[in-house]
Amino acid sequence: MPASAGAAAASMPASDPLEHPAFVERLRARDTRAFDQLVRAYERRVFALVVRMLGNPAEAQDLAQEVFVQVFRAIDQFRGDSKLSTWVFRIAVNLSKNRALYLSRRGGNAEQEDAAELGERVPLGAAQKGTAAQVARPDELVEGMQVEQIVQRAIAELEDSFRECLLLREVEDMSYEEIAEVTGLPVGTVKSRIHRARAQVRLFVEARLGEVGGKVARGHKGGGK
Amino acid sequence: MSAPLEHEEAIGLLDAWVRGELSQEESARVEEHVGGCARCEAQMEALGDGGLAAVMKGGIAAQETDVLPGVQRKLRLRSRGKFYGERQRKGPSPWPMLIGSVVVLVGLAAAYFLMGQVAGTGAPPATSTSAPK
Ligand SMILES: [Zn+2]
Repeated sequence: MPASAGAAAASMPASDPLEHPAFVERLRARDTRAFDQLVRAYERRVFALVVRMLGNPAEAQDLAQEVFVQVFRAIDQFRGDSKLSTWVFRIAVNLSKNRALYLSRRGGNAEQEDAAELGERVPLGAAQKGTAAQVARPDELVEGMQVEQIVQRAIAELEDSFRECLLLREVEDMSYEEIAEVTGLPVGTVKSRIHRARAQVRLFVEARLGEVGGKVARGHKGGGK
Repeated sequence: MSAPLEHEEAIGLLDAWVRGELSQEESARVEEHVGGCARCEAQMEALGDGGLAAVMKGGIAAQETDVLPGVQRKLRLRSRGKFYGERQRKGPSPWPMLIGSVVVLVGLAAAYFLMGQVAGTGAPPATSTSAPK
């Protein structure tokens, strides 16, 4: 892994000025204008990642700020053996995991348990035979609950390590190699986690769609387990 | 670890794998296969097929992603104005006011005691004995 990380960083074109060693030197010198530039370049992507990791925009805003505070403080520890952006995302992933753990310990997780139960009802066969359209259309409403919300619940259900791989792929559009660098996992593990995470999300979404559909068909709400 | 799984074998185990129903060893075999199989990768791409990404990215653009001001504020506070301090001077800061008030109060107190000593040649007020330590 470190060998491939080094190779990836070395083979990368130095066209991005933020990846230039001189820029990193300015950050090390705590040049606040350079730092502002860095934050502006990555704030959207970092926020997009952490809001999906935490599922809470207010917490995500605070945590995204903490990510950059940490970058500012720890920039001396960036050794340049990966891309700067990779290092920033590694911090974002680690802080998100810590915060998610803290939040889950602080708050109740009754909703998560409820969601976990739902996930076990519908066989995956249907999911794998591909009703991607159901997952793919955000405009499709089911009993007032948007598919997007269901997908968010599904993502919340994933184990942290699966969730982060999936998010880095789907939300950040990272290559498997980049994800491997950010997470420190072998590329093969990254691929298999993304595969399984996608299948689990689809399983959950279809279970929920089926559940809501069933309720509507039976003409009653709630209750039935 | 036993022989690597063929694609068809792995496919047969995928349902159980996704549900987490396989033993650790079986699970590891499926993961090893999936991580290195081009056909599984193609299937994985189909599972994502861009639609999932679209849904997962949805709603973010509209949300508050203006992170920089908060970062600057935190760094200013935590560095006690060493970084991003120049922005502090633009707004009204409580410190000059606070320091000014303290100076005025100390001055008033000093004047009070000085006047007390000059004027009060008789019995000093009871408070003047207990106030200075
Ligand atoms: Zn395969």
